Amino acid sequence: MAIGSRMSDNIQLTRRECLVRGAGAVVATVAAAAGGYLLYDSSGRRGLVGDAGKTPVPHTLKDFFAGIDFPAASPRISVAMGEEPRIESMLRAAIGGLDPSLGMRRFIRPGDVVLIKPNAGFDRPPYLGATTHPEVLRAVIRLCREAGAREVLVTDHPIESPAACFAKSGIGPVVEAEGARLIVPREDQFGPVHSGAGPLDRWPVFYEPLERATKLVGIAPVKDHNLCSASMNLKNWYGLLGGRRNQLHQAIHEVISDLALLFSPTLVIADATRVMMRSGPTGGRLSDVRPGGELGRPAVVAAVDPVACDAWCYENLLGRDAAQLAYLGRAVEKIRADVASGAQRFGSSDWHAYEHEGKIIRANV
Amino acid sequence: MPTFLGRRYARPPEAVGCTEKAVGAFILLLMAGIVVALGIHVATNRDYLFAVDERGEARPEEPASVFPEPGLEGWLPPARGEHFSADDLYVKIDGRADAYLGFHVVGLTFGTYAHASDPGRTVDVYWYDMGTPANAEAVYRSEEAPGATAVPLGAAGYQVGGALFFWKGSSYVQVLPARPGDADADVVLRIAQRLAERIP
Repeated sequence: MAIGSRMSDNIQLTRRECLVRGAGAVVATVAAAAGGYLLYDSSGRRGLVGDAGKTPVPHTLKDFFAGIDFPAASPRISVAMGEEPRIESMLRAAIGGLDPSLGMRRFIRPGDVVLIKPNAGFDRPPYLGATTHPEVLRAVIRLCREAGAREVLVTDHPIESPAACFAKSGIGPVVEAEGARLIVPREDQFGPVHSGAGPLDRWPVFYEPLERATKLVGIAPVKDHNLCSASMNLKNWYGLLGGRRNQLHQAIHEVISDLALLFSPTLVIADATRVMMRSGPTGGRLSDVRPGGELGRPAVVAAVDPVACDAWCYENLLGRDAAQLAYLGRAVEKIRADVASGAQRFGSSDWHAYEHEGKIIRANV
Repeated sequence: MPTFLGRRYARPPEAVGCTEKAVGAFILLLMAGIVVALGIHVATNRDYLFAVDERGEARPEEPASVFPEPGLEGWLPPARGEHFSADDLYVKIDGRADAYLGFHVVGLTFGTYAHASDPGRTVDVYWYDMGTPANAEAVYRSEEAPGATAVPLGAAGYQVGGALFFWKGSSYVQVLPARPGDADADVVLRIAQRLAERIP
């Protein structure tokens, strides 16, 4: 007897039963489809350069300095020198030099979400100077909290082994100890940004935390760099780029000047506690590093003009001629054009003029 | 008589045939397999090594035997090494890669020695294959620290701040401790000596 006929002998479905079973099948199918639709991640690989079939809409980065009521007569650069055990005091003095009465409260308001971008780009221990000194980061986090920040986020985008980089640099443990939030980049957090013509046009940027933050603070170690001569505040934003960043090395000065235009931070801090004088950006020898560089003492430099800060650091910490640093001049031109179109920001490489105007403060701690 | 939503219906005994049972069982197993596979994928997906630059993903792993045992109590050789070719050397050392490319680097093998009872006590080894002894010596000389203490290691070596650098054959090797100074200087020297013995 055929199976089918044997089945038909044993199964006697009534019309009602057939309808019930059919309805059940339809309900199950609809439920599965609904679940799939609800769980579908439409962001996917959004924003990746070269991702065929996707045309992501470029974002526009916020101007994180625009809301700062910064008096025109206030200092632009503030340098605090001291000793390593007194890094927090040095940081307070540097910020205080920009505004003696308000200090960090000039820049951070209660309720702000502060994104801090240190350099955690290498899995090197702190003493080699390849990454931001964790104690400088700790001090900045504390000052942000004292000023009333609702949330402090810390991030960087090391190419390889972010977990190892954050751990070995000491940055990860400090973030955890100070109750800040470490953001390890994910693919879906990147997106292209408007940058005009140039190598960074529609390049993926680590956009999502920038969108979330209301204030942006960069903390960059001062280092020699074999490609662009120095890695300081402007180069620090390179760590927020996605994609194959090595492809940008061929136009690195142009890229850094684009970064200077793209990123208008609330504040930048140059970490000169250990200056990498040679073999940058990775170093590897203790002899490559000198506390305070040419200053001879560990220092922290706070500034509202990242371009001027880079110029000052290049000459006073690395002992080099800022007129030879190609990206500085290009950054000045781009920011000048931005200011001419209405932006309110600082971007001058002529730190000597600031010195003459009394807008560079020095303190010994 | 069983009921469904309050209405009675007849359910003949043995209403489900063998074929239907088999199909049903297959579907159930398939669904279970999908759940298990999804769980494994979620558990193992290292999405922090995001694929924006897929070369930043985990490296082809070197066998642990590439790195010799240090022969020191409590110290373990790298559980796994990482290899970088000239094309993706930048993943490990970023902009510094261009300097090594200028000396025709072939590749980098990286590994970390660790102390079994102190996770913060590590020694990193950067083992560059420079292709030829001439290139190895050239890159060594270009990075040589002035005034460093010479160490009889390989063809030439020096020690500075607790770290050791030497070249031998086509290799240029950096041995970097997590703790500066003399804290682990003996460990660094022993590791470097074992590495030098392994290099032809």
